[in-house]
Amino acid sequence: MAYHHHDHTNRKSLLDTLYCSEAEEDYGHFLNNSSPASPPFLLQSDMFSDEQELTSLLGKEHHNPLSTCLQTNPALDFARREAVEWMLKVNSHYSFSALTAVLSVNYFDRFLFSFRFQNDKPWMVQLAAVACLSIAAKVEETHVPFLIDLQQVDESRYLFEAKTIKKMEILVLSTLGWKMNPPTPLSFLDYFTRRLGSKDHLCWEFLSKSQGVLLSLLGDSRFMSYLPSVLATATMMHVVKSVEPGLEAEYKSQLFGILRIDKEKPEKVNSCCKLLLEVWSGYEEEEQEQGKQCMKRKFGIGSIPGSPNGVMDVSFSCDSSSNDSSVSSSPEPLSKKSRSEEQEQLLLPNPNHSNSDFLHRL
Amino acid sequence: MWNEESDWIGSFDSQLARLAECRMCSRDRGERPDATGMDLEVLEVAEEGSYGRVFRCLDIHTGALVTMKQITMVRLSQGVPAPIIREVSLLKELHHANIVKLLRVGLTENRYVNLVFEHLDYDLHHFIVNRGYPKDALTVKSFMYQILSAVAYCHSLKVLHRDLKPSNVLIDHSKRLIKLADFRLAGEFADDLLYTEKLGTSWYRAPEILCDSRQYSTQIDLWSVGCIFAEMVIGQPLVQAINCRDELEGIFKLLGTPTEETWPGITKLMPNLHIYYPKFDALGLETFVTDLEPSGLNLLSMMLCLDPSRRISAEAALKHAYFIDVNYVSLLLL
Repeated sequence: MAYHHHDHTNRKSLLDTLYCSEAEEDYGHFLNNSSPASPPFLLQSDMFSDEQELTSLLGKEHHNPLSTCLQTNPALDFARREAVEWMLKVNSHYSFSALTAVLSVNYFDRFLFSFRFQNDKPWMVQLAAVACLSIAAKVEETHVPFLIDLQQVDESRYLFEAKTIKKMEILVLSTLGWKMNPPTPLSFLDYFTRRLGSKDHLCWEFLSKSQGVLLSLLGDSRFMSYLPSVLATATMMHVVKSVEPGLEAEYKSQLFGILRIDKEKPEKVNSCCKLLLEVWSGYEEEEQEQGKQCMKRKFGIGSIPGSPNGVMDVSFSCDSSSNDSSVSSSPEPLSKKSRSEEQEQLLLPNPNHSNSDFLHRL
Repeated sequence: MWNEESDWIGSFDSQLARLAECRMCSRDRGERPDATGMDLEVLEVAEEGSYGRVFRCLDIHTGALVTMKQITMVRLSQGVPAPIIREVSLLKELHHANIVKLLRVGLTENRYVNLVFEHLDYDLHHFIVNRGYPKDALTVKSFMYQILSAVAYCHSLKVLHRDLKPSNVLIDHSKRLIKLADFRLAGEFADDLLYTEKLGTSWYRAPEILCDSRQYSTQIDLWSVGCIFAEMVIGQPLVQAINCRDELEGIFKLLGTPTEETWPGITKLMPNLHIYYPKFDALGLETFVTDLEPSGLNLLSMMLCLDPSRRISAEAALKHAYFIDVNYVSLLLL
């Protein structure tokens, strides 16, 4: 997806001070499928009313109540984290965009909340993850792999036939009311960088760093309780703090001004920033030098500390996009791969809904 | 596991059926009276294409005429086709008087996706061909204003249509109302090229697309609107060619072969431009589009500007002097 920003060449921006002349190829692979040497085309656009766009985004955003359920259901939380990590690995393998990753997790979380998975069928969570990633790729990407190929990237416990995935795709689409373009934190990141930015390369670099942080948080269900605008604001604050701590206060006031943050939102942003800092600093010491270099080279994360729970490290490792094995595109039967006994016994109750209730509510 | 899967698929199918029924047949959960399974009486097959069929139907509950697009899901290995997901999800978000309403989505035996739209009499292509095109200047102006309103709305939501042409512009004749349709190729602004030769006619495609540019935005829709504008006035497509190369040549004959002065960046975009295309001097739009008032010709030239960065936006076009005498009140009452 191309990022649009307004031409602010006549005024100095806070983002100017964050500019650093790292090689362009540091970020190329992360943002789109183009060759690393060519940055994505940042379109000049003055046709949108900023206020209208922001009002539209804010009007459509809402957080997923699933976060509350996950706090009381560790088994479901574990299954979700595992599914999200798998989706991020596949996303990286096929060089899908950051938006594809965020959308697939968004669909998955909305579906997880709306649909009660049967206790004796934990594999349905994985099937939902495959379907959600497939749908996100179809919404956002030009070239989408065969359904069977999506499953060959990482050693999944289950391998589903294409017709089974298609049925789950239909169920996901129907359950979500075919609303597949929700506002995400990336929508706000894009909006912020257009409003604050002044240099093409700078906007792009800042965006890539913020996206890197954001993607690494997707597996942590605690961040689901925050609105996309709040999460985007906290993410940008975190990036500013890690790159240029002295600018944090000034930058914060600009961001809050753009977002028209007044009453309860500042507390939410501060709370989210605090959690983000806690999560990242908790893993800073554990991160190995190799992983740090990999992230720095590939995403321009630079001084930002290591990712929580190994999400970024696993999902976006340096060699994740290489694939030596040849993969058949013909549908294969559903089969179960071995995992530990403990994981096989996963029960995934959703305390809020039953299938029949859900179907009658539609 | 095999038994478990087959059991699950059986129950899954019934869940899907119930889900579709809940969405489609809110009044009657009893026996379905028609082949489509959507409480619609099929009156006629309006169109058949490679993607499926279009039916003119009667909603048996409301008595309203509706159009049902039945799309066949043939490639099992790829699940629900991407264009269907794109079109439906976008139409779920687009609420505008000049954009066709998607009334409901249904499934038939997991092989078809049925999209039920409000019914409109015919499309602009048939209007131009069968009725000798809208000779009335005010009708052209009204149609143009409505098309631009819909396009401006889409662009404000960061959505490109990407396939604007007369057959995708529907008309409610009694109300003189225009509605954009067929958002199969639409999507949020992207830096990837979705157009290919096989996607149909190139007559309405912007020159940057024909030049294989991967850097395009809202301006591509404005070029298409300009082509539609010209066609409404002259009664036939402005440039008709059998392939992209010939289409570009026709455009260059009309507007002049671009240079770095007229289209900055063209030599980078098309390094072999002057090898493949002679240096044509512009014949000028006024040579072909004769029955158009000066302000209309001015607007048309701003839409059919070779350089995308200088092409007028939909929002700006709506404020153009050409529309000064449009009856806004009647448009608001539509």
